Amino acid sequence: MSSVERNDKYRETERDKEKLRELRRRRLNFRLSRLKKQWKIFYKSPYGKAGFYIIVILAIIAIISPVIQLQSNPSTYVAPTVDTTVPKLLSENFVGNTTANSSYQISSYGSSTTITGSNWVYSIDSNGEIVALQLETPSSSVIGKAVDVFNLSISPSVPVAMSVFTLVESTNAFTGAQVMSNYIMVATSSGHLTLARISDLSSSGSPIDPRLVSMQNVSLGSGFALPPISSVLPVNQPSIPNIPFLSSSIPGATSNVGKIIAITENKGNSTFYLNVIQDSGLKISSDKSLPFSTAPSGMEFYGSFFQSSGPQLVLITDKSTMYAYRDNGSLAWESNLSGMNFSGQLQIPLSYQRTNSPGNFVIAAASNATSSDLYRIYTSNGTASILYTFASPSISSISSSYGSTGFPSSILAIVGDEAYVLNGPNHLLGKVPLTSGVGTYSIPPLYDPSSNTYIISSTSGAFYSLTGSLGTNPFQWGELPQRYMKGITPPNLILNAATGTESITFRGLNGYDYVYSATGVSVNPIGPTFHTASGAIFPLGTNSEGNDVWSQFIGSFAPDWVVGIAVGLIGIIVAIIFGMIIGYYRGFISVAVDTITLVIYLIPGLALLIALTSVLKPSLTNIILVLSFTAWPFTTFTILGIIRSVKQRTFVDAAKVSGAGTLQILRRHMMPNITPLLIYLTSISISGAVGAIATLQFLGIAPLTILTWGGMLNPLYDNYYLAAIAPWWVFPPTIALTLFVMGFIFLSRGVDELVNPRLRRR
Amino acid sequence: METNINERQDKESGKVIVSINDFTLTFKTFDGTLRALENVNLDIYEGDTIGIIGESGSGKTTLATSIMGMVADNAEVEGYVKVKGETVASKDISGRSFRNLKRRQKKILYEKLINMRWKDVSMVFQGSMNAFNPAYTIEKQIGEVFKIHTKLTDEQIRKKSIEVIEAAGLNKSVLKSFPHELSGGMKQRAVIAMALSLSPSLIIADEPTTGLDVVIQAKIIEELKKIQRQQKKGMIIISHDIGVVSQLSKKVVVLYAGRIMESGPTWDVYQRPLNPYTLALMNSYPSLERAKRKMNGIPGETPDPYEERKGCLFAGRCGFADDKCFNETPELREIQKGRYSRCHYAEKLIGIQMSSDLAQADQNIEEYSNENETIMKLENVKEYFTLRTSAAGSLFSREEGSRYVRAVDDLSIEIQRGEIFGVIGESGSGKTTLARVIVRLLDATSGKILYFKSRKDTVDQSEDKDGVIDITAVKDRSREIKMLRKYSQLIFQDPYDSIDPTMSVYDVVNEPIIAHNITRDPLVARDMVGNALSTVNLRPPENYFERFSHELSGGERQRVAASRALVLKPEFIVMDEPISMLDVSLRAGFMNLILEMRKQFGITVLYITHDLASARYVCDRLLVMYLGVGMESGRSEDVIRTPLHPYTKALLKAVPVPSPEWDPQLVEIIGEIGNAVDVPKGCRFFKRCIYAQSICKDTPPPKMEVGKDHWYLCHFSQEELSRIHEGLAKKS
Repeated sequence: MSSVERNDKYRETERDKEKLRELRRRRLNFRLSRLKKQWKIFYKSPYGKAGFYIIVILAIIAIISPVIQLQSNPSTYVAPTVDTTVPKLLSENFVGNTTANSSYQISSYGSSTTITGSNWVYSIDSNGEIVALQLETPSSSVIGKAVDVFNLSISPSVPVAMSVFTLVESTNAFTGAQVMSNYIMVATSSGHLTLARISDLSSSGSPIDPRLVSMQNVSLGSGFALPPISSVLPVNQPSIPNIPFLSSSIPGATSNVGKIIAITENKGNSTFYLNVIQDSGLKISSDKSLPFSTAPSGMEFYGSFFQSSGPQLVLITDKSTMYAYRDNGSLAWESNLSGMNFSGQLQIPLSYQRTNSPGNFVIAAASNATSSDLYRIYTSNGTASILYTFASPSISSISSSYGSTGFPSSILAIVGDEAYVLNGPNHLLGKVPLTSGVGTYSIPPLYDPSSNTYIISSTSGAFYSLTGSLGTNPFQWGELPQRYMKGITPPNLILNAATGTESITFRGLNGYDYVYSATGVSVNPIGPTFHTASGAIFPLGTNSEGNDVWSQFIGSFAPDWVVGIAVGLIGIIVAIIFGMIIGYYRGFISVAVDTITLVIYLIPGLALLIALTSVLKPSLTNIILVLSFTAWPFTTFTILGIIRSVKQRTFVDAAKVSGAGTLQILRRHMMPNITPLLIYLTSISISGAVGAIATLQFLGIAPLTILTWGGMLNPLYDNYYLAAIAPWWVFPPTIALTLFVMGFIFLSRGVDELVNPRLRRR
Repeated sequence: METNINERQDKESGKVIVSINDFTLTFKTFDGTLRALENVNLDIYEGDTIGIIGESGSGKTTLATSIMGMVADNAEVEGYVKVKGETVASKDISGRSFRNLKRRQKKILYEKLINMRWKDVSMVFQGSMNAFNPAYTIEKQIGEVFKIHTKLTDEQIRKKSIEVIEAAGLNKSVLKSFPHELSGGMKQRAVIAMALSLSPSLIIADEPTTGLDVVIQAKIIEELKKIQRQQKKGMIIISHDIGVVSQLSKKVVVLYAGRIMESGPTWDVYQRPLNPYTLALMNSYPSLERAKRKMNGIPGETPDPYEERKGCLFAGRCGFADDKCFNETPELREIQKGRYSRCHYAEKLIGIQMSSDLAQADQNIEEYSNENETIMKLENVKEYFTLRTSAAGSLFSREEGSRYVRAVDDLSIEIQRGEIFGVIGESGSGKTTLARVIVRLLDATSGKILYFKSRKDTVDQSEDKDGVIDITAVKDRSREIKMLRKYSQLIFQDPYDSIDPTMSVYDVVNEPIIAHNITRDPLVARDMVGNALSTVNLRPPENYFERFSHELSGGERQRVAASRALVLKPEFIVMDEPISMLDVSLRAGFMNLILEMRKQFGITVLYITHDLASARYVCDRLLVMYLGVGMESGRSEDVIRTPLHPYTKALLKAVPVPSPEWDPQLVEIIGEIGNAVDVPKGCRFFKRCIYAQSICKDTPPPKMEVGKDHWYLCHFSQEELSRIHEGLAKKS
């Protein structure tokens, strides 16, 4: 072969290759342009366009669902109790103007002298008007009756402290029964102290509205540096409904009488005095000048229940020193911290108030510029040790459980927006975030021993019930500030002895008294919210189980698509195979398949589905198989009809005459001619499958572990009014389901217009 | 405004029934605006018989339905149609405007139209014989017309029904029948009876004989003529068949792409057309008289009705056209008295005689010399279909298999290599079954079909030394059947159905190449497909590769089907009525293509048709079939010129010709073709033969050989037949 020839041959093959490429390009372009043309026709049909967009949007949501779905396991995720459980509002009553910066205006007591008596909550407004609010009684469920008790008319000064406590006045000589009275103590900003006896019993002993019986006043001449405290605990400790209170007339307790302790400031020379005032007759028993020039940060009385006044102490913190005074004004001890200043929060576990033991200690918060510490200071000698160190420069508030002889079971410290629970020195049980941006948590949390919970509240009115043992679900309930309250006074926890219910009472700065039940009630389903106590958001609220509807809704997209497409495709493939066998071939197999198909087709679909699902293990795969099993006969019969009619067309004979084998005819003639129908049928069976699984789950037959829209609607089966109760829960899956089915039906309409030019012409 | 045809019609001929004035109708569709009718002016007087000729898509049916006031709701109308002075279609009330009418106006219009339809104008729709409700008797369906439009009692209606059914030439027993019990001809007559029932002034017959066999067509024409004669009804005959229109109308209107091209007295128009389109159209009809004279057909295609229009619409296909024709729209002018034509140069056509004046039309097609080599031999071929009345019947029937449809019964023919062998017969005579048996789409019940391979065959030299394939004996998937599929091909009747609508032309023509695995090289395949398309005059083939069948005209489709058949260069092609679905102007072209193919490749053709004229034009030899049996066979000239069998004679006489001499009453045949189930023991034609004698009933007739290769199946010689005929004439 000469080189010229070889060259020619080479060029020839090159040219051929080029031609071949050209040919392939042309074929490809042709196919593309044909697709484009068909797309245009499809897109021109309003149905097709609408269907296309609906499906694209649904598909996009399904694809991005892992990202936008808030909870990773929507079927098991339950919204935190703090968001879905709230204390029940028992009553709200307007009782008088309340100024924002006044504090300690409410107090309450839980028990009357007799069990048949009414239960009243007392509060004071900025003018000194004392109002009593009736709690529920055993005989009447009517609560919230407000009664004006009396008016102190203290204006322009405002009340700085108020507390209600019970004092024993006398003892029946024959029976030994104590006669107790309720007293209200009010301290005003001008240095006045008022002790008033009130009674809600008539002279014959029947319950009446509370009224003023007698009143004593004393003026200390100068303002209070801290709100005065009483050696007697106010009636806000629900565990001790019958308080054995110490007054001068208690037998065997003559040496120890009820006292009011107040620190006053002489504005002229900036001298502070510790005043101890006997509560009978408001006689000042001690008047001791204190060794500091700035206002003390905190004050606490130790030993309320002690029989003798000997070990009783008044603990005062000032800067880095804690002073312990006896009630005669002598200094018992003083304790100095190095580099830390007491911030004023003091907490004595209630049990320590009963018996004096060397292990008793007071919990005190102290801080410097960078960190803060929780100290334990033994009441016996003032030895201080650090319980825990926080990185934050301030501790908002502290509380503790009652404890007994040893360390209390839990100590709560709120630092910033976090609640720390300690169950031993330097032993943190855990910390729980609180809602931020709802005021400060400076109000000392209340401990409820009956449920071992702390009632934490913020100045603007958020409050929670936090269990002392924390656990996986630390909050028992929570309530975000109601905007109309404009902030609250520190709440009281009271036990209604008559009914045994615990209630939380506080006054809103809008002038209303509120009474809440201390036990939470579940409010599931909750509506769409972006503002919750736990900080979680629920764009579509929750369902009655507390599951996040948004996550379930979004999480349902993918399974629904998977079921739809899997069932649609399996059904179509089976239908193509069987449709072609029955439609194209004649003979025994064809007749047999035909008959089997007909049998399956004629069995009621839903009954078959129910039967099959009950036999098979509940899983996604089985559901898909079961749905496919009932889906294919319809498709098969439709395809069968078309195959039979196409088989009659002349071009099939023409292909046979051209020498085409059966497979070639099936592939090149039958398939293209049923393709539009296949698209139509596939879209119908996809939407049908989604409808079918929705039906199954709605009826509760299919397992609800698979998230689908139908499953979300399952509870509707039990409660027909759910749509009215929780539209956010019912409507999204309903709409999505409708759109899904409609989208595919529109799509098939669009394809129909593509296939059927007669429709297009009109 | 253009001149109104018939305007100067003498007033004494009656009052105007229908007046169509400047009527333009367009359809708004997805693909654009379709112009169906343009500036149609026509007045129809009482007793007028007007024929409307045109190809498919020329607007014939749209014009007719507009007269009935039936305008599709996507149409837009200009001008008006009035029936007896009442406007039934105009710009304001028809088509899209109808939707805008007030409810009350709609109701009034609807009532007006209801009154007009059937009473003033009635219409026999195309194919309406198949529109009978199969669940009711004919009487009930005719009676319904009276019930809706008149207040007659049931008894009166019954009488009326009998009257009209007898007027349409039917026995009154037909009234008690259900539609499926009647033959096509009887149903068509029943439809005509319905149209007559309220004695309207005008009857519109839309393709009244399409889909009917020649013999029945002749009977229907006779019936319509009788109605014209006796009842003096006005009539509009719409047809693409010149013969039918010429027999039934005194005036003719030629429509082309929605425009009236020519109008005038029928015979004048036929003999001396004053419009090039009419001239070309007349020239495209294969007619028995013109025999083998070369026809040219009309080149090109009818204009796209969606396109913007300019100039004369026929200019693109007209041999006389010049620049003026392309740019100026010609007006419809009166050229001679009563003769109107839409042509700039109509005057030049005066004096041209249809028959011989066109020089080019005078060439005869070439005779083909026979090679005297047999390519196919059919020996006693039978094709019986088992008749199953019902599933239960077939299961429990005692005389199993006793009832057959004898589609092809004992047929023996021999086809020579290179000839065009025609098979003629009415529908139901077994032509298509024969074609399918020969290409083995059906297995023959018995008999032998021998296929002789060419001695020159180069494709497959290896085996089969004798070169004979027995088509009836080859097995599916055998090598023989593969070979057979390569050698013999079939072109189907319906080009609209024989091409897969989902496949491009390339894929269609490429199919045999794939099926036979001829080549894996796409370039070679492409060349083969290209060549095949060029052969059938689809040029350049590249333009057709990527088109789909719906983008092609009927003629193009049939050419694509032909190129699929030709792509593997077969020796033998069966053509099953290849031109019957084509427009008239395209038929001649396809027939010429057949002749050309034979000349070029020496292909043998089995040409199946019911149209005697086209058979005469293309075929060398003919076989006349009747109920599965060959009745007469011979060289086509011999068979047409000197038909021997009574059936052939009747068939030839039944073809309507545009001549006043033709008389359907001369068609000597009884009834219609029966079914091939209960065939007479003796001669198949016995029941319809006017010459029938007692011998014919039970004794199968012998083959009578007359001259070279010409025989017929009859008991009687020609002399005996003419004697019988004389006897019959005396009796009557």
